[in-house]
Amino acid sequence: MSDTKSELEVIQTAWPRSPLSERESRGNNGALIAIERNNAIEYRDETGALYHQYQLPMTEGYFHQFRHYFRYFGTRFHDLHPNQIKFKFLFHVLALVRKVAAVRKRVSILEIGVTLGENYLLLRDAIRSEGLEIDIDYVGIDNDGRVVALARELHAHDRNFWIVNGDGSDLGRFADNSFDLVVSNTVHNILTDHDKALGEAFRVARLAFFAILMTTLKEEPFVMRHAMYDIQTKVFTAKSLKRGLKARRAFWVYELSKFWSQAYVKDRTDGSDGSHLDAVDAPSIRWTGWIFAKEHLLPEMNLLESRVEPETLP
Amino acid sequence: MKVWRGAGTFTRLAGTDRTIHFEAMPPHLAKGTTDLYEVVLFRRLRSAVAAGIISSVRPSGGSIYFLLGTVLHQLLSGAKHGERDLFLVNASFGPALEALKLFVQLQATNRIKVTALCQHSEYARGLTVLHRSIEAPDNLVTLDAARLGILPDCLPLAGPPNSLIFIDLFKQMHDDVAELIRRQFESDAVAEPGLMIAARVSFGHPIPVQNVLNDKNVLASVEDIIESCLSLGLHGSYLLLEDFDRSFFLPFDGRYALMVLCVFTEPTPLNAALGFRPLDAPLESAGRDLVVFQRKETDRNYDLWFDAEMPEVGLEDEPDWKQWADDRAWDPSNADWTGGAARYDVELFSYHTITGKNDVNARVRRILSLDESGSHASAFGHMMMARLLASSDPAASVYAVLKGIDLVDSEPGAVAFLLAFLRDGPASQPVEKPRLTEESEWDRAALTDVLRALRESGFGPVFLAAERLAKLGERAFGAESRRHKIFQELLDS
Repeated sequence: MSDTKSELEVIQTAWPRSPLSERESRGNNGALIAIERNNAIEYRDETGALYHQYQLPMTEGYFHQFRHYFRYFGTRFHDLHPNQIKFKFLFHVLALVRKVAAVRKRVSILEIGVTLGENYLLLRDAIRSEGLEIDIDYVGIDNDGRVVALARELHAHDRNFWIVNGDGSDLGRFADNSFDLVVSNTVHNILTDHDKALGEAFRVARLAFFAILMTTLKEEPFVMRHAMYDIQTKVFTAKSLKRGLKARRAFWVYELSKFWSQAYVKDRTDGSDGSHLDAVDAPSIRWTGWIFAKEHLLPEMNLLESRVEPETLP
Repeated sequence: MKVWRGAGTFTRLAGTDRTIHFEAMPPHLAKGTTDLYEVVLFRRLRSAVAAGIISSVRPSGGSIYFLLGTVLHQLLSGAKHGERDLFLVNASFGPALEALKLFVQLQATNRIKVTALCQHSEYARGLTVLHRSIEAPDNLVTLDAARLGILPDCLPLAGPPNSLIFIDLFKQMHDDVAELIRRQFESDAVAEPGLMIAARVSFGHPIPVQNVLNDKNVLASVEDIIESCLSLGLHGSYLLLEDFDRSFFLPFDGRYALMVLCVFTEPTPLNAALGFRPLDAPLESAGRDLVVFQRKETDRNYDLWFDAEMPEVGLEDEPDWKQWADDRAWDPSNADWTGGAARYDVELFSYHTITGKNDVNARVRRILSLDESGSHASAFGHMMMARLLASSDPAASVYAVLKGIDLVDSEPGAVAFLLAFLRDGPASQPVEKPRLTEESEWDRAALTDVLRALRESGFGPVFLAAERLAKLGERAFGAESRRHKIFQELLDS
């Protein structure tokens, strides 16, 4: 156990947080400690010596990404609970698809932050169960190459699903108006260049860009650090969103029904560095839905400029 | 031996200043993620086969599911009947199923229908996603259902004659394998069943063990299992892979093997080249044609478990996005957006309101949803949705009405209130309850009133054909329900 720092990496604590933390500091009385690292399970004794190790045949990314994934993975649209953000997201995407279905038999959708394509499967199920006569061409973009590789293999036989590896902030590979709809669910908060990302998404959309975003009632946007993946999350204000989207025609904001409690936020951020916790005011954070519609859709979607400024937001 | 598991922080470990944070997950998810990776690898192999890049694969012995898929394929392709049902008991994400699909793809066989029983809902959900939602249209192996089924209570399994039941005890063990065999074969739930079990066994006597996921189990004795099969009059054969994946357990004393056992009510030959021995043969370690791959501590590349190179089948290729977009280009300004479904009812979303939202310091917010109780799923909420979607989405609004009626069980007072709301909005006057005393009359009266209310309100039956309405009723009430039948009668009349 010579090089302790490299062998015993500090890994962020994650779900669930255990009351063991209190007892651990007093030593463990000769028991073994089970440590799950990226691709192995290690049993160490109280001195830290390795007692037993089980090598897992997996690379780091899969282990971290998917250990909880199927816990929440939906397969049927009507099994989703109406209070889930996922339901609300798909409800509105479906509404937009219904609009397109009135004039066309095919719709192309780009999802930013697609992961394994769960939303594609749910949308396809919703369309099928509703009897809508429309085919979907679904393209997803995700910034994790391992996720993209896995999704490609899972959807290897699906001719209507494509996935590319890339940063959602830069959609330069796509020309203007490439997709009928561009959608994203709480992704733009964690992209690298937020302002550019919104503009890019709007640029490549032909009809509308629909996004669910975390926003705040505060005066200024702020950043918080995600506990598990070392991701910076920027929480927008309505003003900052308006500044970011240069080519906007109209947008409409409404609130979704979820909010965070302070305790939940504390659990999700790194408590060891308390400096940024001051910036987090959990009750002010909401998920909001934004539809950035292009000009030809504006009148028919009954979007009025007066709805742009709901009374609740500054 | 005490083991501490759980997420948390160790500080000042054994008097040092070392700090360890570690994460933990439920053990069944740890097992499942390994299986998920195998599914992905087999699927990649299948893509390569479909693309014609490879035409056969040979194992190097590292993947047990490769072997199990081989055996399953042999047993199912030699079936007496045209089709054979397969039950996967203790399924996780289906690596055995995916391996089976690979062999079906390499060598055509009869159509196979699979039912999976899982110990955890995450597995059932993941199986459905992986094997039902994402699948090739020419797939000969159909996952019929994935549901919860916990050993040993889910046995005996009932199914068509000659069904094959595969119980996977490789990662999720069961202490009494002989009992599982007895439960199935002492019942006549399946005529002439086949049973295949992959289980970790000891030699001579059972051994208590603890695995790396902190489950405590007992390795069943292979002699006890074979004796139990012979006492039931079964025919079969078995394969032993000595010391296969022994590091899955914390160190223990004793002789250990992984056993693959196939038993039937009548003699069923298996390919002896795989190393299977008949039940009554002397106990010896089999597997001479499979080299057990000793996993090296430094070997982290799963791909080395197969002999064939893992080919790239063009999955990395992206289309020409400009061409892709041009192929789908159209001019929205020429489209007629004024159809019935074109209006986007923004009022619907305004109902997702939150009270007290101006007070940024408030700790609690009351959520007003489509109804006062905060639930979207109430009858009132459905009627609200029906009103709001009436002009933009007739089908959804009719469905909402029917669902609302279903939720109140056709109770006359509630129906009257809901239909009054449908016509006039939130009722300011109390609604008189109709005089109906027999519950059996409620459905017919309610549905007659519903159809009339829909016509008078100007949507639903005005825009939708009777067949479509019937389908909506089936969805709202359930295909076998009395309410649906009455609704169908009213539409037909």
